[in-house]
Amino acid sequence: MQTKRPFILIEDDEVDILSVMRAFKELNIPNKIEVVKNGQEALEYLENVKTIKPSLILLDLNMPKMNGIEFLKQIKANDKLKSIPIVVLTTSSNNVDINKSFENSVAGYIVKPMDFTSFKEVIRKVYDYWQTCELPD
Amino acid sequence: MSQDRSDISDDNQFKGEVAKEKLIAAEGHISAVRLILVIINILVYLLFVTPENATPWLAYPMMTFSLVYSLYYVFYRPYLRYPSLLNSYFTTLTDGAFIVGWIVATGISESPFYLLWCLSIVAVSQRYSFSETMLISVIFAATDLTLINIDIDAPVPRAELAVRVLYIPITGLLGAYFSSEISGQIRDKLKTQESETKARKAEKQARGLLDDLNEQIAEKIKAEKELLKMQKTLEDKVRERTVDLEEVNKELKKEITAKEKIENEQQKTLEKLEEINKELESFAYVTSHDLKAPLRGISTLSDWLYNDYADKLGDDAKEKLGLIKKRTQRMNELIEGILEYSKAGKTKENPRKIDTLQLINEVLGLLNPPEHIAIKVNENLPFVFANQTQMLQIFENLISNSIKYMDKEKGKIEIGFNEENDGGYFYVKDNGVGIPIKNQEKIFDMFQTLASQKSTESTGIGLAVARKLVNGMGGKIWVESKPKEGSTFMFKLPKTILGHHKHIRNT
Amino acid sequence: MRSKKPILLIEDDLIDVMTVNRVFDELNIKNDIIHKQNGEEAIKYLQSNNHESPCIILLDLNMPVMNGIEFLEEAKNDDELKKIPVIVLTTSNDERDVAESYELGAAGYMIKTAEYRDFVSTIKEIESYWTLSELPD
Repeated sequence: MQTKRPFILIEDDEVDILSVMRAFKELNIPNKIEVVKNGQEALEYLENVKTIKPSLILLDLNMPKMNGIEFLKQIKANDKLKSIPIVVLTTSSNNVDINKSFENSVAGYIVKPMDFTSFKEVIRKVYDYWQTCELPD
Repeated sequence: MSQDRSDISDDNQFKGEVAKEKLIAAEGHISAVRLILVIINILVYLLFVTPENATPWLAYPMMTFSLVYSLYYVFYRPYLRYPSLLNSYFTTLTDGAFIVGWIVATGISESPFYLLWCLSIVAVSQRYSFSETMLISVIFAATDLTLINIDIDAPVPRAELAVRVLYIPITGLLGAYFSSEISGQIRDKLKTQESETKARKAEKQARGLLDDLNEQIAEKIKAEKELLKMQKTLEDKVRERTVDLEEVNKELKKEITAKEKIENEQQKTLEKLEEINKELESFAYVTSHDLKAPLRGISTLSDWLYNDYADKLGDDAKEKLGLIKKRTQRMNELIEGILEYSKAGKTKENPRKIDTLQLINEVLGLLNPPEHIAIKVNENLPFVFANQTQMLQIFENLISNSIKYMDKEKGKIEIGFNEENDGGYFYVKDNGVGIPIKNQEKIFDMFQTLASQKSTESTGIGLAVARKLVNGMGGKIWVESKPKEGSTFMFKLPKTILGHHKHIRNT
Repeated sequence: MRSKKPILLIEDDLIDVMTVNRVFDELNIKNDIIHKQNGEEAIKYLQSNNHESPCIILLDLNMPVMNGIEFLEEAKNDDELKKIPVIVLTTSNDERDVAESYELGAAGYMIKTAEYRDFVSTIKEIESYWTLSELPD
């Protein structure tokens, strides 16, 4: 990213969290990752004035308390936060989930691959794409 | 009306009564006067008539006769019932007889006085009208006066003369009075009788009309009664029919309700089936996803262990980690297999006309069979009307299986269609490894694969999926195989899919 | 691209259109390109029923009749069209354009430079990312 603003990762599975962080490390991605365990916490975190606006949100859909789609709807209703691009990173390949996510203006929907190597490749591609993109301030 | 009629008759009756009374009274008077005059006449004859001029042998009987006659008038009343006719003839005769008799009996010249008696009797007769009586009186008075003048010799005493002169108008008047009175009575009586008759006639007529009217009313009432009866009968019939119809209606309603109930139940069953289907689908989906998550964890961690601790791990440990990795991969494939199987046949695609020849060529392009396998595709492959993805999947699975299990150096796979009377079947024939007979049924079940589990790449769902799809279309799939020689997989599709689409294409 | 559906290119500059076509050929991208001159024509095309909807939309911002922002507004108001990922491909690096595009649900914002080679890598990024990502029906 042009700016070195952090990523937000909304994910509750430990191994998945570790995977993202390891991938970032191995790919030498400089941006920080803020981890939030669910949508509720994410909203609270983002609404906090002290928070630096992230460059991108990586969102898992299966989460407790507030599932991914709910979170999407809420954040897209928030004028301050709706311009942050959101990429869904999830296990579900269910069409309903895919359609609902795009109906709520996600900027990508990626199914987590099984092995780490492929996962790293995914992260790389995502990062490269969003590097090329202009991002809102 | 009856009131009036009786009034009329009553009136007439009353008048008639009155008239009768009067008449009787008048008759009585007349008769009395007659009698008196006759008696006076007899006395006068006996006293004044000289024997030489008279005719005594005639006079005496005449006097007797008139006496009797007068008595008869007085006492014989019943004749009053037949007054006018009888009376008038009788009176005329007798009057005539009297006049003649008295003339003869008394002689003209000597005693015109007696002529006067006749006159008086005649005058009293009820037959003559007032004017007639006056006329006769005048005639006889004139005669009398003439006679007085002729017979100058015989001096007439002044008293007698006075009586004679007075007597004429008196008796004349009397007669006239009585006759008019009586004739008037008779006229009244006739009138009342007439009116009585008229009234009776009118009454009869009226009664007749009334009877007619009554008759008509009676008839009308009768007709009305008939009508009422008919109406009632009709109403009863209508009620009967209505009751019948209502019953029929009830029955129909019952049937309709029953039918609706059945339809509802059918609908419910269908809905339930759909629900179950959906549940199964989501179950398969959820299960596979829930299974994948920890699997990924295991896979990733074992990767990292391998990478991070490569120098610290011995070969043995590395090998074991490698096996873990492989197992996780295998599990992943199995889960994918479940997912694929559950998804199979669920596309929202609409069926369309597909050229199976073209489709198979596409599949071969995708699968890219190795060079040592010769593929033969028969031209007689038909058009079908089906879901494209599903058809593709079936062929893909069958052909990829044939490729996978090709153990010969010169492999041969033939794909085609055999036409039969009731349709036909597709076939994929290979000279591969074949299938032992005991496995030929099981092979279509899930996760059935010939090769050993650890070495194979196959998850063993290809045929299961193919069967699910074929059965879903209403068709049938089976295999004929000789171990070591090869297998022929065949599947039939229903006529609705095969249709009449013949293999007419522009080659 | 993983999807075989066409790509909708909304661009009024014909040279840019030619460039896109050329890049696609070079990168061996097999998807059909449907080209519309402006937002209005694009909306009309998308709302008519006799076609396959595109897998992604490449959107220029500066166009006559209906520009890119207006198109985004229209598209995101349509229940069917809002699902399709829209990648802004424009010369404008105006902050407001960037912010507005993301606010209206854009799934990427790339700047066209004069350099052909840069453009090639941009398109490559897009292709790579959107092949990786799942797409709605």
